[in-house]
Amino acid sequence: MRLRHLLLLLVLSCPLLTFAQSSIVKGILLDSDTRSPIRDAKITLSDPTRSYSGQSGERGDFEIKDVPFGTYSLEILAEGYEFAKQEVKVKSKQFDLATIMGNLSDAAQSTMQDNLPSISLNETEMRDAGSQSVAGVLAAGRDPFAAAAAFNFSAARFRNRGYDNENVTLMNGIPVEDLTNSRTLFGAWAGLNDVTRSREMTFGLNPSNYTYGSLDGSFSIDSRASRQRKQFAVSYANSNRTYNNRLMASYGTGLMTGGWAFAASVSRRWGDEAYVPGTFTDGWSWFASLEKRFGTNHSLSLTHFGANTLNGRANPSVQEAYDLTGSNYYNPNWGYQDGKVRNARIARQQNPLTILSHEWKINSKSELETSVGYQYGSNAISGFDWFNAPDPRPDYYRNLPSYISDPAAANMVANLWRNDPNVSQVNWDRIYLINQNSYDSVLNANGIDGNTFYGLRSRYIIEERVTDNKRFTINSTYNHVLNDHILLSGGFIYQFQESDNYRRVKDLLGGDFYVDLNQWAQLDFPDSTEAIQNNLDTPNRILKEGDRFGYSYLTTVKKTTGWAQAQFKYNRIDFFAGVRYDGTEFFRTGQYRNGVFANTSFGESAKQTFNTYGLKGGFTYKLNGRNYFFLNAAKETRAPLFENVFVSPRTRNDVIPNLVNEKITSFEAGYLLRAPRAKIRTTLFYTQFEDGYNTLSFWHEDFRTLVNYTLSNMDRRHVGLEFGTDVNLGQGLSANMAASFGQYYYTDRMNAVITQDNNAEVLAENETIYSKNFYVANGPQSAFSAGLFYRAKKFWSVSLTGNVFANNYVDFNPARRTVAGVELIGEGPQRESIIDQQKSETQFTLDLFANKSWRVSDLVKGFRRNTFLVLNLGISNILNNQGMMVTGFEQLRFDYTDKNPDKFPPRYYYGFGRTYFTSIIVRFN
Amino acid sequence: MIAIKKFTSLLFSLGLLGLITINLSSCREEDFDEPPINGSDPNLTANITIDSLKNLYRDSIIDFNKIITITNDWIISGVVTADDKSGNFYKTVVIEDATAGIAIRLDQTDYYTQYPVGRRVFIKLKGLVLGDYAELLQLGGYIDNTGTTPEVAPIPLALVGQYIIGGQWGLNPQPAKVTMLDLANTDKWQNRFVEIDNVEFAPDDTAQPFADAVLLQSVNRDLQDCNGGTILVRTSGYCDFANVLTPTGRGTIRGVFSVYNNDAQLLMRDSNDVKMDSLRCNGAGGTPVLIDIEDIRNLYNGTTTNINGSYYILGVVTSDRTTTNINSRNLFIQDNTGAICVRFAANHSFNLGDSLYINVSGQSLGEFSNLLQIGTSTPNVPIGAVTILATGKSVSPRITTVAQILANMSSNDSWESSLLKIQNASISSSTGTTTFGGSIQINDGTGVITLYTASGASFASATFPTGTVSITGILTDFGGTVTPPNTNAQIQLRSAADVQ
Repeated sequence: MRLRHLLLLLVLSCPLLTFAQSSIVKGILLDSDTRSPIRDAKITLSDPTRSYSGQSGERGDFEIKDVPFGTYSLEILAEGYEFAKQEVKVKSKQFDLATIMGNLSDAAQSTMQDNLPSISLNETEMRDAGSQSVAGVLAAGRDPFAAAAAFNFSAARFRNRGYDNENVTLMNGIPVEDLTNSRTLFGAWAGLNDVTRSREMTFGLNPSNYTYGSLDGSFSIDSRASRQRKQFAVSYANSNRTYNNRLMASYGTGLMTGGWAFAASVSRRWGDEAYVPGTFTDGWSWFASLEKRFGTNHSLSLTHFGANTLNGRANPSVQEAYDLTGSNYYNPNWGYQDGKVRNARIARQQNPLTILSHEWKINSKSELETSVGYQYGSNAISGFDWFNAPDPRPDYYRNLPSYISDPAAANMVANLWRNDPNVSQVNWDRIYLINQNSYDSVLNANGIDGNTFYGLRSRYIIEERVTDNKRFTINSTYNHVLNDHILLSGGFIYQFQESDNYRRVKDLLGGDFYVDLNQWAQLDFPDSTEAIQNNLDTPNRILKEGDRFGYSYLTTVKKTTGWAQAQFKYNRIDFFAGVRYDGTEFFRTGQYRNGVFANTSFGESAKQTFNTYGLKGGFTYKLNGRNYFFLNAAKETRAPLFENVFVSPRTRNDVIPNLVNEKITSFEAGYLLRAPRAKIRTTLFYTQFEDGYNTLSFWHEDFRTLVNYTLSNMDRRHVGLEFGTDVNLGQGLSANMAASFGQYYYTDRMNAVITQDNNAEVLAENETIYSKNFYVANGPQSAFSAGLFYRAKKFWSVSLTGNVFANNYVDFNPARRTVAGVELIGEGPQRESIIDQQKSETQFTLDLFANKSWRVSDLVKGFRRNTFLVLNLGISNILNNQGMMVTGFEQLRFDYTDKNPDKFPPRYYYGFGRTYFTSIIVRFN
Repeated sequence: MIAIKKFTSLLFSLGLLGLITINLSSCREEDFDEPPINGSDPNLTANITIDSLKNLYRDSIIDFNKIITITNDWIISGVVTADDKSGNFYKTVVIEDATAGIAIRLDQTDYYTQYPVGRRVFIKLKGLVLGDYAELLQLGGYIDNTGTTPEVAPIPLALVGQYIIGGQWGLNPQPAKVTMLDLANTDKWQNRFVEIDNVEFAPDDTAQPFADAVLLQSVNRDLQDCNGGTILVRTSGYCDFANVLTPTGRGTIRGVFSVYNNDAQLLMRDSNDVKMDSLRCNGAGGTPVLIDIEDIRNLYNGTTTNINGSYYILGVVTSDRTTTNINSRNLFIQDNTGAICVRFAANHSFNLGDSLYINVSGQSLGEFSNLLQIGTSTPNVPIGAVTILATGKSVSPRITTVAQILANMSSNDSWESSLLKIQNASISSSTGTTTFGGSIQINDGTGVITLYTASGASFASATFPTGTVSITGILTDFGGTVTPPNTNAQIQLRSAADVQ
């Protein structure tokens, strides 16, 4: 009955509704110890669907206007303080909360995010060891499940609901994403932890006031100067994870008289002895924000920040190599050169972002926020390239004992692997020796007939695969409070991105030059002088360090989005409805005329345009002030991504035919408990994706060329249950628990268009991949954690958490699940070993975190009153579990001749064993 | 305390919830998907039948020995009925559809790894050539004009994959059941996978190797039915069953029917294509079973008989071919029950002490000069009927007296051909010779028996000892009566060392 009424209301809309009254909520925040005011605290009144915030002033006083009558949970965030959460019933026009006492303590949460064993912030290369595990970190707020997912599950690369990139992240109103692959560019603010703490978030399909959102909620980070605390803070951190040292200094003026605010931060992360041998970090990060408030209605802010980061990467290897070297952290990327460790695979990122934001309070009911962002920068990842020489990587399958059929010889190689780093690691000296003895001449060099070039022609080089990006974004968001029950929101976004993709010679490794030729084409067209040219316009080009070569093309993506949303709030029922419409256009611009594809490689491709929409809605039933039930649903279409639809973007403009939009249907339903001593959120979710695309490239044994599998009809379903609880047991002890039981799997057979990089012939137009019921490989599908948290009165705290991870599946090679993959193989173990999907064993880890803070004046007499010293210590994986596979994938290369899946076995990446993170922070308010 | 209790109960309920959820969320219906067990066909459709193709060829030529190039975008599809796994089909794959079969020449060895028996293949005909080789129709890659007459050349290795596209496998083609009479229509049945029931190899071709694996030559064996119809079974000397013996019984044979000018011939795919366990048309034959030599001997009914049924014997050679005291096509073999002479179709190389398996199915059993022999009539026992199981074995001679030998001989003659030892005897010559050669006498006090040594024996001219000796030898027979001692029994030595 009630439900039907609800729907009626939704349809017939507002005029029938009675308008509730609203209130001005006031109060004062004081230090319980000293009775001194607590400034710059953020006070939030919220229920599951809406929130109202204010900030405390010089005297600790605050005021929140336009709060509709109702029951709210009051939450106060103040640096260095802890406040008990409480429930308030707003029922008068002037509602005074009187004095609220805060206990001095450093909120564990605010520094805990530093303490995550996250691997690396930007993934320039799929399947690289680096991976985004950051989305969860941002989610770590007051939600019991989200906090656990972020802090406890990230080490196992848990992904919320098995999604990859279903979260919208805004920085000062700007969506920060790479439009070619929809990934969030977290790396842009790597190392700037101090200034990115102010964030708002929504979960799942819940509505937000600043974005339409996505399947897994949204985050809005607000780094504008007025949102930064007035403080000066310096911290030093030491760790053995991805870096060894971090030094960070942050300064904020707070909002000064005259309406000015300024904030700045700089940090450096460095260290040569990260957890995985050969990996290192060397990064600088900077931030500055200037804001000016004009009157009470306008605020203009300019924010610029960036990070220049070098990362020595680890590469997932095969189990045989791990076993031979006795370590699951064996890293084939490095070797000794003159006795020093040198890593061949170095990621270099610098993508500074500048944002101009304008906030306009049009009147007491309307607000318009507009931001313009410009980001430019470069991502590069280095690696070997070679020409007419064997593969230099130590774990290349021919270099492993298992490749050698003679047992005695295999044993000798195995012994070398165990004892000789020149065999198990990159042999730089050998590579230099080869290059230094490679005297060669190139006829008709640089495309000039009769021009012969002599010198040392490098057989091996270090190349960089570079993507230079330019991104321009404008975003405008409008919010209008129609009355006490209805909030209207809407927005307009325009995003433009142009990326320049190419290879660059980074190091000739002792040689004098390299030539811009395609060694794969040389295999296919041994007699052709044209086919082997990467760029026909300058054949046989002589390359020096820094020169562009190989491939070169621009990707251009433009996206325009408009959205609108209405939220309705009543005593027992809240509901909302939203709509979104976008237009996307992208194309490729080839800058090289490839020798094999002379007619389709150069110039602009056809412009691909897509129109997509989204619809969502949901309602919450409030049984009482503590118990809530909710149901949300969304339906949307999505344009295919540039990255996934060009059959071979490196070489040509061809797109797989008959592109369609991806279609997504998602539901979530759940229960929330917000009792004084216990919080529970449990959600059942179901999401069906239809018509996804993906492109994979790999070396094909039979065709002896790079082959591209462009997969379509990727239908997958993500279903499961999330559960999170946080229970206050009294006397400073609390317990938390989180669980996610999911099943993420493909619901149909995919289709593959198979093309070669060196031949225009399409190898298969419509190859069926027998992928139904295979699992989506995206972290553990089940995760569970339980922890105890103790907060002592003397400003220290400690927590201990146990985690269980299960059903982490190895990503499967589609080529093996085809008729050709099991051609002429009868039923039996060989067929099963080709087809079946592996998963990791169930894993257990234990994490410890401790924190202590002091008021310095208590230690040193006469010191400034508002100076704090904070110590953090985190030990992850105390039991040193080194067998936790976090990422595994089957090599795409397959032995079609003997159909032996062990010839190119899966590669695994293991989660870190026991690691620590410790930091010391000094802060003056 | 209460809080902890509450927490515990919460934990418990959560665990329960988790269990329920695991069951709830097990909505993924079944196991991993998998490609069809027999694969799938490519996205091609046959647009002409093999029979139509054959007719088009017939209609387009006046005479055989013409080769046509196919210029239409035709596709035939058929299931492979013969591949090169056993080696009997060399660079030729045979396929058939519902209408007819055809052979395709391809310049690829071990192609069975791609196109095995039971795989459907699609042949893109455009660009291929069609012609006949001694009236057998073949598809090939191009016309080879280098010889005296144009020939269908195999599809070049690099192009095989362009023309022959594999489809489903494991289809298990079933042969067409035909009679020899049917096969008179060679044009209709050529390149078809056929099965003929109630046939047997001609007597001269039973228990013979299918082909000559030594000289690597193809051999034709005659196959006959009970009504007098015959065709050839042709087998390559390169194939892995060339050494297998043709069966002796009657039964079923499968293979690809083929023609070579006027010869109708069947090509087996492997040795499992023949099953002839039943009695022959004349009542003989079957799968060989072990028979004691004693029982073989008892089969003899006084005149030359056939060993009806399928038998083999196991025994140790007691004769020594190196001393040439016996015919070089004969040997003596003995088991626990008795001994017998075996006569081969050719000189053999089985040595004293060899342990042999001899297939004696259908062999003749008769006396030559009173000595019972297996293979007494031509074609005698083929060498191929023998398998050497071991060498260096020995047989202990029966220690006996001349009187007992003569008594056994006149009762059932069961000691004939076996190894005997006579002790405390003396050797003499009634004609006054002093050497072994010829017939001389052994006397052990109980009687006298002939000691016969062929004049061509290596020790014929050696002087025999004159004192008391013991003599080991094989008891044989002589057609006539030797005087003295007026018996037809005789002892034959393996060498002079048999007298000690």
